Amino acid sequence: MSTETRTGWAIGPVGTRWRRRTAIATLVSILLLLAMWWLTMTTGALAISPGRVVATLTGGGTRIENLVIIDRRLSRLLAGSLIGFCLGTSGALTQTITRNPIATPDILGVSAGAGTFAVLALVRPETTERLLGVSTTVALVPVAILGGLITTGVILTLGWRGGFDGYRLVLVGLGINALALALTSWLLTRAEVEEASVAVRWLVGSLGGVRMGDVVYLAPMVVLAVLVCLRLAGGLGALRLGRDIGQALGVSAGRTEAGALITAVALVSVATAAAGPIAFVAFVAPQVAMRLFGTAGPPPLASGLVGALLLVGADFLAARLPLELPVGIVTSVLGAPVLLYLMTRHLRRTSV
Amino acid sequence: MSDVPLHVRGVTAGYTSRTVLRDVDLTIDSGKITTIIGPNGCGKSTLLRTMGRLLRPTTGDVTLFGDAVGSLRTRQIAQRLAILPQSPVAPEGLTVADLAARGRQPHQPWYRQWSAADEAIAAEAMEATGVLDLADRPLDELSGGQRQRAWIAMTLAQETPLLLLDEPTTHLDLAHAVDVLDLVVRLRERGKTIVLVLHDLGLAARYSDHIVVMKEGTIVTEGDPLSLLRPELLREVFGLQAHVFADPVDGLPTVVPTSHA
Repeated sequence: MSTETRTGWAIGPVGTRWRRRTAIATLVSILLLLAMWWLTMTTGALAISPGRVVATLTGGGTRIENLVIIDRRLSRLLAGSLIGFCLGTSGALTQTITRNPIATPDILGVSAGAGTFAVLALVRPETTERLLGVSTTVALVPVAILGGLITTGVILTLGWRGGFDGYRLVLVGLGINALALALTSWLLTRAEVEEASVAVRWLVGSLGGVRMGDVVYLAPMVVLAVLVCLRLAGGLGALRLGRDIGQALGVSAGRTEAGALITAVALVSVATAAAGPIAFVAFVAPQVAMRLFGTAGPPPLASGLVGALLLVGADFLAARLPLELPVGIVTSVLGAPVLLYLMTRHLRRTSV
Repeated sequence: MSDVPLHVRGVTAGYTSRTVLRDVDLTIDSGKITTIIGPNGCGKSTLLRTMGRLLRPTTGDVTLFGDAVGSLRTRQIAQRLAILPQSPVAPEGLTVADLAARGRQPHQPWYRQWSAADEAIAAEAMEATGVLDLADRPLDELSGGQRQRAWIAMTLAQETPLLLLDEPTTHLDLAHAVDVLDLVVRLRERGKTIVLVLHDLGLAARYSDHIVVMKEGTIVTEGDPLSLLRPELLREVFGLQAHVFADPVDGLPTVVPTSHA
């Protein structure tokens, strides 16, 4: 009878659930993403005809076309999609393990912490070179990742009291976020004007500076994250019912949570290193994905797809406004109302 | 595997700063409904959580069908024992069918999140708990009693010989509470061993084969309901004045509080 709705398929030992809603939502998201890619490829300061875009992509472009299509637009689209995926998936993972929609790396200060470390490297180029032996541009990625990890460590240490409580983690995270932002401001006020302006541009979150070189480390990171998410999917699904029930169902809660958290921090740190702390994508994408895919709880991989779509869409807008804006401003404008909505809804529910 | 489903020996357990259980010994008999009763804060739930390895004892040990719980992987434990904590909360939008199917988790490797056999077992569990008709409804739309039965369907889908339920009738009106406990009796009929924590003495008396009375973190006494639940015991442990007698209709023990007025 009505349980017919839970169908699936199995090939040998492998089996997965089949939901029409998931299939349709995935298809729609991918088509929208492809449409955004196409729009971005063909429009802009230099409009290029579809025929020429195809020709350039297949290796028959002029020098100018190669520069615009391959070096600029394609690398920006690839990097933007991967960064969006990183942010969306990381947000879904942290929202899942804390069972709190507000607990995402961008709100809890992980991105801000990665940002503080990156700014430290940017405004003190000589010190960075002397300490690490490489130029600031090379050091930026590992330094931001280190910053993200250290910030997470601080949040977890301060939030730990014989276990994790989503609510306490949010409060500690908000405090750390404020602290990291204050530190960053302090670093900027003490920096040379030239270096400070580079840092400020980076801090807003922009895809303007991404290159094919960024894709080289973003792509394997995304592949790795997809594998981790597939491995953890069952455990995370059980943990959505609460930590006790997850354990009662045979999931080792600590290991699953640690795996998800490390993945989330790594994802958000590489994304931040590549494009600066882009606000709200990690926070909004999982909530949109949850409603679009009709799942009980934020779905990690679908959130990555929606994150990619959001970021590429926001960047399309940002780059084609009369005055070009960094994408971080557009995502903030889109994300802030969602935060307000969720906050008021959350408060209303907990105050009953 | 030994025949004794669960054996607790010298267990002391509690939370960071507070010891709740002190040197508890308990053996759960196969195929019976054992109910733990006691006043609020006496450690009933803590004992159940310790038996269900949700809480690690500071000293003493728990054996599950002859194996020390500490030596088993959490997945192996979940194949032998299902535990439903008090007042579980499901994420918004989760359907009854999804919840019941989740009970298959301990039997599924990560790469097989779906199989026809698992779905059949989940459907059977929903049938047994009377929620099959509600399979596609989200949990948040159901009544308290239906929701509780849906959660029990999840634990049944685990297909464990042993089932621990913490206050399964909390927040339910009497009719729904009786529904849930009738279901528990049917499960015993199907050969399951069940351990309950209940706060309602009247229901505990009528539905249990064996009663364990706790006070201040220790087991005061245990036995069958009719011979155990004497007015003196109720006064001593619960501070309750009550008559206890065999129901003239079905002979089951009945607890009736005496008014002080």
